[in-house]
Amino acid sequence: MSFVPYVDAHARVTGQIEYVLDMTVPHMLHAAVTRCDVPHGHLRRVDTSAALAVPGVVAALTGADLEHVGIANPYFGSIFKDQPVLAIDRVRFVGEPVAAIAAVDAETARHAASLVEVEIEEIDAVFDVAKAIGEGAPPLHDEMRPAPGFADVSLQSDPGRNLVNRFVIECGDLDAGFAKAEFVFEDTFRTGGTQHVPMETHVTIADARRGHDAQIWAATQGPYILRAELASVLGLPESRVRVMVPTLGGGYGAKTYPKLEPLVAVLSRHADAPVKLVLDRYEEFLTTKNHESLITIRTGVAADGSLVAREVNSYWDAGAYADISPRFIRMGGCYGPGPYRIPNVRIRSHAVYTNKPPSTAFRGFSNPQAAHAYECQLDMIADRLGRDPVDLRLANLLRSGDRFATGEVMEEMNLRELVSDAAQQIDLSMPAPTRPEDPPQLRRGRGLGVVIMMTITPSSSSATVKVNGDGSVNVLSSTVEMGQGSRTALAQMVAERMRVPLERVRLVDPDTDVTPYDLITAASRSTFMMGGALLSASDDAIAQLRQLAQDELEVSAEDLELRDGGFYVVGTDRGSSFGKLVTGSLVGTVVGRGTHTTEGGLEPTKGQGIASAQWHQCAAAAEVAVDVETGHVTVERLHLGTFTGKTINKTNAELQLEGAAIFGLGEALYEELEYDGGHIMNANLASYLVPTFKDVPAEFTTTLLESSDPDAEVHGIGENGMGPIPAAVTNAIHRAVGVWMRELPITSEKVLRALHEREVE
Amino acid sequence: MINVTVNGIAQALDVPPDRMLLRALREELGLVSVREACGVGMCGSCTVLIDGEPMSACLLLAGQVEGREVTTVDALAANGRLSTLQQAFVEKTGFQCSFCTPGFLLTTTALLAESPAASEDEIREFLEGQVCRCGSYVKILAAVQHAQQLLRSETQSP
Repeated sequence: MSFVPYVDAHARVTGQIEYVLDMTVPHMLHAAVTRCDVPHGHLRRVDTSAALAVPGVVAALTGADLEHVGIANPYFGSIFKDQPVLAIDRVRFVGEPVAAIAAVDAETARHAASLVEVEIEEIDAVFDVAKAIGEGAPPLHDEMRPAPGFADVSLQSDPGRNLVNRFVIECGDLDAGFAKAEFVFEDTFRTGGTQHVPMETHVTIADARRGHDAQIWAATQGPYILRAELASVLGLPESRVRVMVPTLGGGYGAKTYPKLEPLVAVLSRHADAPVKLVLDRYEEFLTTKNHESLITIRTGVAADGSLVAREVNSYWDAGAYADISPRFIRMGGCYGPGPYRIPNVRIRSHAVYTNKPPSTAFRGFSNPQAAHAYECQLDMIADRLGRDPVDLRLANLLRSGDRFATGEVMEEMNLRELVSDAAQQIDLSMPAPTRPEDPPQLRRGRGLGVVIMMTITPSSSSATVKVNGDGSVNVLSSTVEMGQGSRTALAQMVAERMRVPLERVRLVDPDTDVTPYDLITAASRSTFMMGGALLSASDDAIAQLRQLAQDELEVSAEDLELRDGGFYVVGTDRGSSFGKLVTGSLVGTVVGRGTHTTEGGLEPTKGQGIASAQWHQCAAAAEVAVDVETGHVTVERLHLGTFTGKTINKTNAELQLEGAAIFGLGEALYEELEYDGGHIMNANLASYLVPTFKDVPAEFTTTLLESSDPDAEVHGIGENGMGPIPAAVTNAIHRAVGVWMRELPITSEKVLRALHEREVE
Repeated sequence: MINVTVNGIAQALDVPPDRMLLRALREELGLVSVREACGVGMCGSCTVLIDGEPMSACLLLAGQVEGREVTTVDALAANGRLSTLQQAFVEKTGFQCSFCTPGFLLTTTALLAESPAASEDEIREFLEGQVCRCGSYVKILAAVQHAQQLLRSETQSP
């Protein structure tokens, strides 16, 4: 496969690619937010008079104003409308917006925001999922306000217990399964809260002036989700809300569901001017996060090593508002069985409100947390049985044709090949040898992790292909370019299908007035779903062009072949270019339309049905070096392999895999939000450490495994590399120093403590 | 007035001397390629060259660059022609979302000026202060090494 650079590479390396951060619109004001500094309380008074007196301040918005500013709904949320545009009567986490200022410049707005006086009567807060769902915990919400229709989520909530939602899978007979087990393993695992840290923080420009159609430029992964939400808040038909999305400076899930956009739109309405809000890094940390998890996993194993029963109870910290947590725990539940054949399964997965910033989608979407639990336990099982961990996996991994715990039949399962490859690349069959340069306190170990991942099902993507009078092609797609290279990969798919040079194909950026519906740019779904829509749209355009060619050349369809951006009579040079066909037809442009829809879903009582239209697969093997004096863990060798079905752009695919793995190293070893009384203590990049060059393994390789079927469908790969990393690292650490690290991140302190505890024992 | 040369052009900036350099470049000169990501000098996103030395524009005040030369990524391509380093980043796809790319390019420009034959370890160490959250490091390293090769063959050819 020849190398294809990003189609927008020139703009990227000259610093000229446009982010919302760099945009301005005429008459634009700048916003700043006043945030509460207690985790839970009744809002008694918000006084903006001092702020309004600052020269340059145009408007100040409080919760009390929401009734008067001419909006339809002061609450938003994709599954539950539980989040106020800004605090109305309660505050539920430190950093929740209580007032917003619009001023002539950002500095003035920030100064004014600091002058807003806020009085809050503090009440009991709860920060831990186990406590929040237990007896006597303060409930965060009195009612749930379900939003209309969410295709893949069924609602099972209990606000009195802080239960946002519950998800269940039951298959087989759990008790009978455990009765057959020779060994039963029960272990509890925890992961800390992490933050996405997109280099570009959340940023929005909203123009929601009265008497105008609303226009929003937002760094969002979900233009259509945002449009629906803003239409609901502003009380406008969706046709009068226009969301436009240029390039994102990273997303990783942070920018999936609405966060600050409703506030900016309402402030614009209130100030009667376009308003821009750019979060600083501290505010970004206060705005959203990943779900902390508490996972108890019980597995029954037969004497021959086959897994016969599994029960998983998991609790996921949703923070103060539901956001996408119900879907998150649905996937988190589905990941409980892992990539293994287990006939008897019971899963209970819970999203729980706490007084912390609302959790949202996060690269891997619960997969790294779940895999850390089940893969670590699998190595424990291998240890106890005296089995080789690779062999034990190979014996239990799902194969094509097997049924998953949801009852669906698994197809294109290449897990055994991926595991064998990773094991071979990192020489898992042998203990890691000491190297001559190793200091005496260094211990080496090798470990493995393997995952399957879902994509949102059912879901839909649509696309339009416009063939212009010169034969060039515009592609209308609402997939958001956030660094994953969709602008390139999707254009490549159209160019290849239509047999036109890539440089003559251009994607139009998401604009809900122009580009057709797409659910969201997330869940590693774009190349599969939008790619499918684009191929259909291309085929539609090709069919129209073929008809034009038949008419013009007076031949039948079978006499024509598609090549070189035109139709030609087979085996001759007689034919017509697309440009000539379009121009000759006098229609101006030939427009092809396509939609790709997946079907499925799980019934609510036992979670049976189709969880995912396709299952992504990834295995990783790592060699770590552990310094037993400092507890420091270094990942020195790393191999990842994933199944791509069909690789569209090899370099992009490698970047996704490598990038996800490096993200996973942060989750495994460093990243955790530290709280004190609900205050995040490390909400900056000086103390919240993300991976840099020094964390990149010295030896780092990848495998892109394609299907043997040339017509295989494209598999999503954007997140696959994350899931197995914490598991592989944890298992490698155990091989190196004999301790099981049941909590992420695996900081040096935790390793030292574990080593010390083992010595005491 | 702050007198400073920016991308080869003498400028008199009408800003108070305590204005953050990052803001002065963005707001007074429209150089929006200088982008804030952390605001505390930890991520390297807003790196500019001051007399050839990479520095964080979020930690500098306009008054501190009086009389000095500031280079942003905008100056690397001459007349629309990418520099060898930029070309190498294109050819190895040394980026994803590319928000951090200007900082990587400028820091690497300084590295290669100082030590054109830097080893892999030296490259890793020099770029340790630059964060790429997309995790494109493997390809960035390949791009820098590719640039070293290209520059070597440029100097060898007549």
